[in-house]
Amino acid sequence: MTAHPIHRLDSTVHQRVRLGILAACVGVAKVDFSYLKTTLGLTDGNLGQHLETLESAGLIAVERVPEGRRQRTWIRATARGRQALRQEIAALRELIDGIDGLGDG
Amino acid sequence: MDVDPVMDRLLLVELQARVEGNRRRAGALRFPLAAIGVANVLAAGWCLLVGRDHLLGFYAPVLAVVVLASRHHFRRLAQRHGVLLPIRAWVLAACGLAVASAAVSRLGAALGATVLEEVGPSLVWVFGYHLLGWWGRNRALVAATIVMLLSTAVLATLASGDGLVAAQLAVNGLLVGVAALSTAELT
Repeated sequence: MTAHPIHRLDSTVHQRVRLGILAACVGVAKVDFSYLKTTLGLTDGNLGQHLETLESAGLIAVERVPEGRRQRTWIRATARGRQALRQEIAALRELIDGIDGLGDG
Repeated sequence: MDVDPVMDRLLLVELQARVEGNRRRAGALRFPLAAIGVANVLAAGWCLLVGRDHLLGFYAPVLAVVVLASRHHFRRLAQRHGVLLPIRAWVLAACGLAVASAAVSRLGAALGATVLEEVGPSLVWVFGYHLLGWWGRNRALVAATIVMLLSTAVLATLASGDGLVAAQLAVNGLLVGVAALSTAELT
């Protein structure tokens, strides 16, 4: 018996902002903190919290590079993060297809 | 875990749009394409001077320069826009194409198949450009590959030997250059 797709949704990943962060990082080499903040419309604190969660789960890698007097924070998705995003999209698609299938019956 | 069909549908659409957007960004290879276009036009001159059997010796250092210049360019863009584009995938593809086109040429020579020797390498590159254009959602590059195919067919009836190879390189180089000009830079 195939498990219901809801069981394949990872609670760390299945959160709108964290999914947005992962999706913004996948397909490019890396993105910086300001780009994510602007793209996702977040505050520094909020973005920082989500980055910590993703980093501690091994889904992203965070690199702080000195640039003049300041530091620039670069974020890249790890192989595990890319895999998690792929699984999440597949599970969501399956879930929605299932719901659409109920309507057809 | 709570599931809200409407929110999950929106989430999926948003995720797919972001992933697709990044694919387009990664395919915005204006600078490398322009550089490869110039390299091909220069290769046409090299081919006329030295001969088609020595093209790999031309491409190896020139591709290295293209890669280094593109990496530098992408880093500058990343400083400005906060997004560093990936380089590894298309560099590996370009190296693979250079080797494959040389192998096809040698195979053609070994088999005594002149058409394979003279036209095969160009077709290998056209195939590579087409895949790159499809992968990066680059319509200009995909369209250019169709023109490349047509021009290869026409040139094959008009010329032969080093002249044919040089003509294909020049035309393909110009077409890649035009596709590069039509390709958006990272924004």
